[in-house]
Amino acid sequence: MGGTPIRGLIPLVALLVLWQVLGDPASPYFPPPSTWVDGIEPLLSGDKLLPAIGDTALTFVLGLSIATLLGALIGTLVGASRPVDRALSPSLEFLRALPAASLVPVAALVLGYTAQMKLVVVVLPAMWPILLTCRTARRSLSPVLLDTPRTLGLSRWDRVTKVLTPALLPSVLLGVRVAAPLALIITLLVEIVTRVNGLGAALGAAQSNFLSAQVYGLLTIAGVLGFVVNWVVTRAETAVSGRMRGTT
Amino acid sequence: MGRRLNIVGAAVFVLGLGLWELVVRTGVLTFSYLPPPSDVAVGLGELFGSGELATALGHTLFAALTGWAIAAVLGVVAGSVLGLVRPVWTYAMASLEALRALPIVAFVPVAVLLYGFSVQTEIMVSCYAALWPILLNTVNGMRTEARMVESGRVLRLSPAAVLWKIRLPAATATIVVGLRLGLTTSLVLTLVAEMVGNPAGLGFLLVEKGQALQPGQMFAAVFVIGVTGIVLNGLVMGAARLAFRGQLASAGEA
Repeated sequence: MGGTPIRGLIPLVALLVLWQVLGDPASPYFPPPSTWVDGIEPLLSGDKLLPAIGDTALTFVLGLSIATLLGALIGTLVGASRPVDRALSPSLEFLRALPAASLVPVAALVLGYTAQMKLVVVVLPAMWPILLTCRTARRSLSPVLLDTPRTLGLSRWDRVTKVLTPALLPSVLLGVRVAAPLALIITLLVEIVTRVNGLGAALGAAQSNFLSAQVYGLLTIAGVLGFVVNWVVTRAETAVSGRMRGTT
Repeated sequence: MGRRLNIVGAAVFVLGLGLWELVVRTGVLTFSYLPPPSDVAVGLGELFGSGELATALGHTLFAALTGWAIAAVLGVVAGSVLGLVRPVWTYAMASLEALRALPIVAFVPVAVLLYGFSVQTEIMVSCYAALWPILLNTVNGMRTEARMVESGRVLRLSPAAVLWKIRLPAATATIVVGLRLGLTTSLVLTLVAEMVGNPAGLGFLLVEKGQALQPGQMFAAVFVIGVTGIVLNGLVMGAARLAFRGQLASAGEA
């Protein structure tokens, strides 16, 4: 993470150790870390934890993939033409201003408490960063880059796959880097609010049953997921954009 | 990018609404609870007339803004210390980055657990959500380019003057961006806290109208939430522009 010294973890570790040593294992609010494992145990032995993580991961990956495809496609189309851009931008701006959280109850009412509803709620907000970076990138592409393959007589398909896609890929990935943590947050959000499967639903259920140790345990798992997602997308983005920069 | 009125854009927006109305009225789209825009307008009128809207909006704004204000003070102070005092940064930053990886929404159940169904839950969540962007932007903003600080030393400015005349102005634009991002996230997370925790405010209004099968009023609430976000964002930008005209212009934020 950007050269932050690892020594900086000392306060966090110290806090957790203090919490463990001084904390009251029966505390309903601040159960010490060792009890978190016991809190999760019933979920593990009841074979509920892994399916929940799987559900969350599936919604996240599918949602992010659809958002990437749609965002890149719409972004490219909108960025390709000034008049289209101008005609659509007020509508896009308004849609973007709607907070993801407010979409959850709406989607639940219109689409029902289903896996598709979860996907729709994840796709809509996650699409914006990708759409916007892609639109800007398409707008600022040099006309020479687009005219040359046309002069060379490349087919439309070849122009899209060999010229347009590689030229826009770094911006799409930049968008994905921003969208990925957002998509994870929204996945958890839908699950917490609607209680339709997944880690978020488990968190919500643990909270309403006052299983505080379980709440903290699940929170830690969500944190690990968040860390992994961040790490993967950052790596992917630097790797690909590094290679792209090498070729152009 | 002139400030001209975008007539085509507005027309497309209205056309989109018209199309939505047509599709729902003619039954081409058959979702049981998708209201046409005219129903949403009626719903907005009903919410407004019954006074529910004003109460809910006031509650949400109070919770979101209180949390945001606390986060602004905490974030700017702690961020300045982290950004200016090197040892503190070395021995604390990684902890903060580790904590930041925890998805914020996952904290909502924890806050509900700790504070119950109360307005404190909302304020806590709002504050926590706004704290991150404000804190991190302040840290980054305070790490001024060394050359600027050196020129201050060459001019024989006291350390206090370097802080006041060079570091703070250089950080202003970044901090304002953090405040703006923080306000957006604190509004969103306040809504979430109202949906799953404290039954009050716009977030609860949404859920309540959904359960009461009042899609018109529900969509109206979504519309109000969207407009609230835009207005708040505009207010922060306007205030920042008035207060720090020069700094923002130099950073291209104005």
